[in-house]
Amino acid sequence: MHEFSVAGDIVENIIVEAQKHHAEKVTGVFLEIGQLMMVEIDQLRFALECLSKDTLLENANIHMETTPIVIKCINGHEEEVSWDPYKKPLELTCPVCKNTVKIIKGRECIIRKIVAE
Amino acid sequence: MHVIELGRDVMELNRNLAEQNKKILDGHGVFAVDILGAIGSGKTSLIEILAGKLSEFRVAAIAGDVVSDLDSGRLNAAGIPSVGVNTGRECHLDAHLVKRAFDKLSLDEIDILFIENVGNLICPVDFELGSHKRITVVSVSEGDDTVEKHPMIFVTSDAAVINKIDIADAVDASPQKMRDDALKLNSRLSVFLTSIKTGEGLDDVVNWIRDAKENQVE
Ligand SMILES: Nc1nc2c(ncn2[C@@H]2O[C@H](COP(=O)(O)OP(=O)(O)OP(=O)(O)O)[C@@H](O)[C@H]2O)c(=O)[nH]1
Ligand SMILES: [Mg+2]
Ligand SMILES: [Zn+2]
Repeated sequence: MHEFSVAGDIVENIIVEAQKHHAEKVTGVFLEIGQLMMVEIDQLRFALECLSKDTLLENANIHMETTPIVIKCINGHEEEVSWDPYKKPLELTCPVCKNTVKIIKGRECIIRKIVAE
Repeated sequence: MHVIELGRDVMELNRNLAEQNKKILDGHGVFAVDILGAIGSGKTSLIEILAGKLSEFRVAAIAGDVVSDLDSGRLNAAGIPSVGVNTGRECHLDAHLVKRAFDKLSLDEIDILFIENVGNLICPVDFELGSHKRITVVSVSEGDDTVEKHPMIFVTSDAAVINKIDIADAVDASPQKMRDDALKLNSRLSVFLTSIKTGEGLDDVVNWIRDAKENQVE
């Protein structure tokens, strides 16, 4: 379980950024979590809430969106694929030409924007 | 009230460090292999055996453990120069910890470096270390649904070792099912059924590492 270490990085990054902009309070946070990240969204939210106590992030609205996986094959076909690890196995072949693919997106945890006062 | 656009990936710091690690390894001609896997699945035993069979290479290891130095001690006792890395409360190694371990090794005197991660099938997945290949070790004693239950680690690995097949019957597990599950998740995976006790399947793992190392040099 590393939701807390990821959440710690998120909180730290936001505080530094907010201070840079002389913000007194952060009221909204928009996160994008790649579908291949091994974090549970609910636990990440819980960790963020715990770690933002007594910071300028306290009680901020946290919006989390999971973002799709993008694969690219050796012929250059780039495709978005969606994956539910609990329901459907991840196809690691190109949907167009059936060649082997590389995962080029899906393992990120992006702070898209914050709303500050 | 104003909106501050960031677009910052908090995973990038580790990823960048991992890339730096890979450059350092390449600069010293070191081929590095991650050994991930379940607790007690046979990671340290596998490194011991592989080092013995890859005797034409100078093999070293980094062993991650939550608090002890037991694994690196075991590997050193087996004649494999090893550095232990304590992760403290963390459930995985990260690129920074590995980079610090490099300082305690003589990279110029190493051909193959095994990096044993903390026994965990979930957390290490998100943290690349800079190695060239990833091997995941599970054993039949974790139950033959282990692979199914932990898809991501197999999706991001290059090889899977299904170990302890000598006791498969005793624990009522099907190594073949585990192999099929792994291939269903990742058709590019090389899957090996092994027993460190009887020696079965180990030569195939050794040959796979030799091939991978050769391709690396090209
Ligand atoms: N029967 C049998 N036992 C094995 C086999 N491989 C390893 N073991 C035993 O399994 C136990 C755990 O092996 P380790 O190599 O320490 O496993 P590990 O994955 O490094 O363990 P941690 O680092 O503690 O997570 C030891 O008692 C080994 O002797 C095998 O193929 N068959
Ligand atoms: Mg071990
Ligand atoms: Zn294609």
